[in-house]
Amino acid sequence: MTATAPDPVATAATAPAAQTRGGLAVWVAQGCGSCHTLAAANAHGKFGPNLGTSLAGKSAAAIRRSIVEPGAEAATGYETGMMPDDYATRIAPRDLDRLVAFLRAGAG
Amino acid sequence: MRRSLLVSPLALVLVALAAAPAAAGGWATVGLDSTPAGIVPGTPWNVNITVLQHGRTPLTGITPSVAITSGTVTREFTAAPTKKPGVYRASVVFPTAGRWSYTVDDGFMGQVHTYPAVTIAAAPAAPAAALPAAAADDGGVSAGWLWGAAGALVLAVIVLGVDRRRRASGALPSTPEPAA
Repeated sequence: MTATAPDPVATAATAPAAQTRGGLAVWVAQGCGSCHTLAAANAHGKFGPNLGTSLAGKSAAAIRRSIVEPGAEAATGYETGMMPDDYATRIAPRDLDRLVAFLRAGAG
Repeated sequence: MRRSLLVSPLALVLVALAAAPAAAGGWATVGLDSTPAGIVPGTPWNVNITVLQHGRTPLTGITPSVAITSGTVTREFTAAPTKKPGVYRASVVFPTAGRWSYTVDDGFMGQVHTYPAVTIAAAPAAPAAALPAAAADDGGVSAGWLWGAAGALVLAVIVLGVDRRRRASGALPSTPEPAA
C-alpha cells in the first residue's frame, strides 16, 4: 500500500487544474475508487470497469451519462445494475462537472 | 456417470461460494469528506468516512481505519462511529513533512481503499500560519498575499508618478523662508 500515484493535477492536460483538483475531491467523497481502477486517482477497485480504459476518448456528455445513468450502457465485460443509479441526486451539478473533467483528464 | 452427477453440483456450489463475497454484498464503497491536502505535520486531519454497502446502504457496527505510509514509516488511526449511520470519524496526524500515501480499511470485508498520495508540507512560519486561506491551500502561494503585494506595487507606482509630475511642473511647494 505504499504505491504512489502520479500527481492528478499534473496529468490534467485538457482540463483546468482547479477543476481537475475539485473533481478529485468529488471522486474521493463518492468513493469511486472502491469499485473502479483509475491511475490518476491511485484507485485499484475491481468491482467496476477500469475507467482509465473504458472512458478513454469518451466525450464529457458520455462520461456524465455513464455516471448518472449507469444502466444505460454497460462497459465491455460488465453487467448493468451494480452501480447505484442515484448519483444525479447525490452529486451537485457543479461537482458533477468537476468529476467529469477529472475523469476526462485521467482516462486514456 | 454417477460420479459425474455428483461432481457437477459440488462444482456449482464451489463456484457459488467463490463468487459469494461480491454477489452477496461483500463489498462497500468508502467516501471521504476531505483529503489531507493543506494539512501540516502535527495538525490532525479530521476526516469523515462514509461506508456504504453496495455503494448504497450505510454500514454500521464496523471499525474502519486509516493507514498512512511514508517510506518505512506507517501509522494507523482507528475511526469511531458518528451519530450518522455509516459515517465514521478519524483523526489522522502526519508526524513529519514529506510524501505520504494513505489508505482506508473499510473494516467490513477488509477491503483496502486507496487514494492519491499527498505531499505534507512543513508548517509555515508564524505569520502565514495565521491565515486560514493559506492552510486550506494545496501549498501554493496564497492569493491573498499576491493581491496584497500587487496592491502595494500599484500604490507605489501611483505615488511616484504623482511626485514626478509635481516636480516637473514646479508645483512642488517650496519650503517657506523663515520670517526675518
